[in-house]
Amino acid sequence: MRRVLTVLAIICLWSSGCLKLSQPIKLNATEVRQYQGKDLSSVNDFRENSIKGPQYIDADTYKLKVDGLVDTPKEYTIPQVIDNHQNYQKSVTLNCVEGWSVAILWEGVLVRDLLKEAGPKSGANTVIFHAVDGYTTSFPIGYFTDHDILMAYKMNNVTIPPERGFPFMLVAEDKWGYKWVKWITEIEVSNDSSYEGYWESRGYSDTGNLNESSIK
Amino acid sequence: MEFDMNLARRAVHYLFLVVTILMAVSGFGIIDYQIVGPLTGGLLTKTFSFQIHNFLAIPFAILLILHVGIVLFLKKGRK
Repeated sequence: MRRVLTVLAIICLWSSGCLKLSQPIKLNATEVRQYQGKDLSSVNDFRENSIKGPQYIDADTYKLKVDGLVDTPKEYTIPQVIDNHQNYQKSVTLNCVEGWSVAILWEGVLVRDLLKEAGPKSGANTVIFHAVDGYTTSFPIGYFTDHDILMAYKMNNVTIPPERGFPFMLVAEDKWGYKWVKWITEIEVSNDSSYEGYWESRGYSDTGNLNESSIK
Repeated sequence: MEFDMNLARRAVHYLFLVVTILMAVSGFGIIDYQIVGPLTGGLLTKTFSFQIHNFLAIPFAILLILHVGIVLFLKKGRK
């Protein structure tokens, strides 16, 4: 009986993810694994936990919208986002509520720069991110105006693969992983400060701050 | 009323088994929520699984210590 229970426990642990092994993702370059003397995690160290599985976006037809309560709604292609804005690199650790974390070197543009171009109207206090799979999450607008928050297109020096959020993933520093929206299609400026995103409407904290519980 | 050591020991072992199963199931509910949610008719959502998992963490640790302690130090009254 004990042996059976032990075997069952090992099977449970394995299949519940504690010991799960994932398939390596094909990358368009060699990952860097160290940055300024600090070890980095791998692109393969993430666990796939998106709401509808990996999304495969067509780069040729993709458009990023910045709209809502703005003076000039914008639409960008991928090269327009990357080439027409100052690019930045930053090593930031993603902490998932599930208990795992990954330290990655991110490269991207500042969300603040995109918002500035669209010009938020007075009264705008919230930024809602929409993803291609219907996922949404929101932040107070001050989070972007007061901090250097990246919308990344590269991780560890390789283009973000579809499994990790191509073409753009939000690097929501100091926030739990569910605020790091992948496959971003729209940045909506709003005055709805009570907006609840996908997980927030299912009991997760609205702020998603790392120093607070992830559950409301 | 006399304290029944055998009953207490058995209670600890079975409680530990139940809590372990609940921890595993709620763990599935967190990691594989796309499967577990629909399988349980939407009862075991990721958020609810988190709540169960967090709630049981301390009882699980206490029961684990008791379970191991009983096995190591109380030899079931066997001679």
